[in-house]
Amino acid sequence: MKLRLHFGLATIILVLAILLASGATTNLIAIGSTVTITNSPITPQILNYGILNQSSKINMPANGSIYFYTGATGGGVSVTNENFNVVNYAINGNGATSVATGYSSNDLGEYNPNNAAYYSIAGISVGSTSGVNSKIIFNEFAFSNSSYGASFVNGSFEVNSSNSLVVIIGAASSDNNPTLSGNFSIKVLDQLSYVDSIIQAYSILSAGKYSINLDSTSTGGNPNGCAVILEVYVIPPAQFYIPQKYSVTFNEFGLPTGTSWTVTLGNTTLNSTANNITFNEYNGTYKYFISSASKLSPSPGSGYLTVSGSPVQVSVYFKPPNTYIANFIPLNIPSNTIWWVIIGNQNKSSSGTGNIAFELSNGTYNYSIGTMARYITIPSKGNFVISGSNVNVTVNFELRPYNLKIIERGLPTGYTWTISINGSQYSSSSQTISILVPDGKYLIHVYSLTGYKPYSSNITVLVDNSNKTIYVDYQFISPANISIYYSPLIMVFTSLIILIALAFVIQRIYRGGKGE
Amino acid sequence: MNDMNYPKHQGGRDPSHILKTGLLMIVVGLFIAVVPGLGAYLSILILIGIIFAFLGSKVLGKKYRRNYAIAILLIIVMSILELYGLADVMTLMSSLYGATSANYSEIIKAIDPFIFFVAIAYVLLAGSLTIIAYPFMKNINKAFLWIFYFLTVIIVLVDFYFQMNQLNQLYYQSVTLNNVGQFTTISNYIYYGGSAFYFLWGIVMAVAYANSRKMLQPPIPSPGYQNYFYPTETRSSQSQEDNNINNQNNLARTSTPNQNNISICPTCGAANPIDARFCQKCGQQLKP
Repeated sequence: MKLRLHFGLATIILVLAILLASGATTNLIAIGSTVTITNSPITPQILNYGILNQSSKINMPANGSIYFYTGATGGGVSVTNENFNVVNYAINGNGATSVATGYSSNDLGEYNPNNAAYYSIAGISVGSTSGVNSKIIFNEFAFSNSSYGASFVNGSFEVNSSNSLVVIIGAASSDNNPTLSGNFSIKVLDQLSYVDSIIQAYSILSAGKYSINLDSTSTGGNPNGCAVILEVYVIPPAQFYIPQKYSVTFNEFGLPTGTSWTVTLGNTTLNSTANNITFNEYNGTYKYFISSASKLSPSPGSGYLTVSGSPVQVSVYFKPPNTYIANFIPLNIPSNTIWWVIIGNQNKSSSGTGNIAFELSNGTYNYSIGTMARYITIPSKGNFVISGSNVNVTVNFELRPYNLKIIERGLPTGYTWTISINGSQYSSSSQTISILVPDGKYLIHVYSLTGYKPYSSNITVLVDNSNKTIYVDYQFISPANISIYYSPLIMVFTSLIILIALAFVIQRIYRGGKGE
Repeated sequence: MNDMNYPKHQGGRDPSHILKTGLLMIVVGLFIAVVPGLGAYLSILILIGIIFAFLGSKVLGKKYRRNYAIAILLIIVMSILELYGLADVMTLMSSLYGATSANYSEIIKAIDPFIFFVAIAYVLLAGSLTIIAYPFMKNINKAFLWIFYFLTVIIVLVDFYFQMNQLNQLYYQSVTLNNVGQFTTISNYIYYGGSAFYFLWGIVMAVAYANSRKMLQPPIPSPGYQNYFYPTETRSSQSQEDNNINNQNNLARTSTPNQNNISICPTCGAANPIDARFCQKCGQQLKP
């Protein structure tokens, strides 16, 4: 393990005690330094700042995780940075010592716990889960005795991993000097002598079961029967690994020598004419896809694989594809009707009610279906997928519909006109009504509308194997029929009569004069 | 024009001057009437002009005076017809006042009769103007006068016929933003037909007025009127009914300022020597 701390405030000295259960080792770490983590595993370390508004940096490899145990006197603990998650506030102090534990995961993060009035970083455990931001869970044991006259509390806890950091926080009311004892070596970090006392301690322990006791009767004072609380946090040593890539190799079997084949793993596609294709990937799960090559299908053709700390080998077998039957089944087909199906460059026909079948390998196929002029098939075209089994396509035969187009003449633009064909009404504000009808005889009734009436109200039309267009002629119902004054013709006629008569009169009065 | 040189009406006002003034007012009225809107108000000049022409027609003789009276009658009838048609339109407009929607059927019920009566009114106006202009047209002009008489009315009737038909196509529709433009176009074309009518008649009447100025010129002193009573250059080519005007014309040109030298025939208007007992043209007995 190699740690390097650098601190910015030269005037402040920090005493760091690192105690290992297997052998006591003490390192001094100065406040304001930068800790760079370069190795794994990392033994838990204890930092005791004991200063106000202090900061330090810890440089971590990518995707590492760091765990804090933080205690402060004289107020609550607040550890702030952009990515710090508080796991637990052990005691939310009320003018007394507070402690907090938390963790953070970041790339080369800078953590600046500088909001506490008085604080000390009681312990830091650094760990990693090899590139994955998973949280290391630590064990918490809490014991309390709040019965009347309580003077002690004890309990036992278990450490699962050697070199685990154990942080102990005890509190006792009405006692100035509670004592902490157990069947292991305990290092008291801080002991506050107030009416409500708090003691902070830690130890680095091997795996095993331990017992601990907090006694508030050491001073012989009156305990007054309040709560005695003991909390133990067991923080296992972190394992840190530099993220590592592992080879993922696809080995093909069955391809002719020199045939190019292609593998897509995640977002990476590689091809090769060799027998294997190799990727390098971090731990994780990846999707892969192998393309067909030289008309041979790969098996497996696609799937998921997981890289988990070791190289991965995938064997790919290329072999001729299996064939399956695509069966086209006619329904309601009239007798002696020829029909056919085209798939790619294959064209098969039938003149009866029999199926049309194709032998096809796995894949997606487009098809089109044709038949004699008077009929249509539903569907007439489409596609299907063969994926390891036969496929049936049902083909329904119906009489071919023809376009019956009715065009009105004589109506002003925008007039909505209505017809009924064999009882069904159709309206349009355009000039044309088009409907699809099979062969047959149809009676078209044309409705009058305000100011216009059809010359023929009923029209019979025969649709016989072809589209049909008929015209509906409307005539304007002139208001001239309402009054002679509305008739342009009568107006002209009357005026002309008067004009001619007047001409005669004028001629006479100037040419005559017989009586004069 | 020097009134002193001209035979005067009994009232003392020169009738030929009144006649020419009337003709000029008709011409001005007709040209103003070409302008839609403004012309509708100022076309009253035509009516006043015809009345003036009638009053001045004394100078033309009894027959012309009777004919001009007929022209007045036609104008009166024409005015009644126009007012009748206009009354329908005014009623329509008052009924539409404040309306938020309207159907063309309501509008056409007023407009169609209006067009109907206006068409007849144009016929009557053409007849009236023909009567007024006729005495001042020489033979070739008379032919054109008749052509104009028919042509102008036919132009109006053709225009009205088509516009009325177009208008009737809207009969079953409501007035909307989509079709109000069509209605406006129809209205404009009705105006255009009327404007063409007035314009052509303005030309005709301007010719008549110009002719009247020549025919009703002040007299030119001359040794005697006999040589001018039937001037050779005009007598042979003019019709009989024009002789009255020519006579009057020639008389005016040849008579002396002393009115005692001539006697006007009260029947045919011919000028006779002051001592003639009977009219030398029509034989009417003259007052001593």
